[in-house]
Amino acid sequence: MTLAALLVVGSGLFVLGIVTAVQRRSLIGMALGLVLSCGALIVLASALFDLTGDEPSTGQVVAVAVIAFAAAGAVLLAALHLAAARANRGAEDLEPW
Amino acid sequence: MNWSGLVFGASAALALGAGAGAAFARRTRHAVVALAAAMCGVAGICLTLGNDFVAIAALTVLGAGVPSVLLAAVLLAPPAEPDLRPGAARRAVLAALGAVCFGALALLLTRTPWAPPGGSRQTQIEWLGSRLLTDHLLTLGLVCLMLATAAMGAVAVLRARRAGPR
Repeated sequence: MTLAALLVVGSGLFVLGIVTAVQRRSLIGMALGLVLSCGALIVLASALFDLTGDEPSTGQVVAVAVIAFAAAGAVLLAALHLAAARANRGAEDLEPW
Repeated sequence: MNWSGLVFGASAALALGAGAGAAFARRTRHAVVALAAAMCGVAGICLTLGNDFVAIAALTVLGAGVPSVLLAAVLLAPPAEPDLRPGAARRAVLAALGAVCFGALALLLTRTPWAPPGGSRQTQIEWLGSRLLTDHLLTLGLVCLMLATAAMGAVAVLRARRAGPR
């Protein structure tokens, strides 16, 4: 496992996330792209901070922040998707609780 | 090749393969399952780097929690199928553009002369907790604020009622 291999994997995952967000039509698809891109950022931050520079472990702090950002964004997009579906259909059975 | 290399190779293949599945699966629920598998691959990569806490957080939050929420949303309100934008030409152009972007990004990152590693590497969870509560306290506060805002925003969006009689 080398730094170059980690960077290539992170780059591939990031581009896949962007392609997912562009290619899909629904808000859920955008959430998928967001989470995939955040996974790539976790890999890149872990690799760059752990294997280069003088702050070898700051990547973990960055990764925790990125995980929280991905979770917050995905929950918001899922809520917006449900709200949009409820507004479009006027259905009463889309209450999530 | 040692065990770490094997785990890294399997995790990288899982992350990229499942990521491609999430990007191009025709049904949204299949894409969500592929996303969960891709995040398991990301967790495996973090595990090979020695970042145990990040691996567990990625596995539980991004590999289980977020896909569960998205799957529930898909089952409650299924999006139009197929979820992919129509047009084979558009898909081909997007795939070519993605390949070019991937090549450029990978070349840029691998050709950059990164500084050699220095300092003592810490991977203990206690160390991470102490850093979060001392040097990165502002980061922790902002993360908590962001999560609270997202939760309140989601509740506000879902509790909103249309004006006027139904």
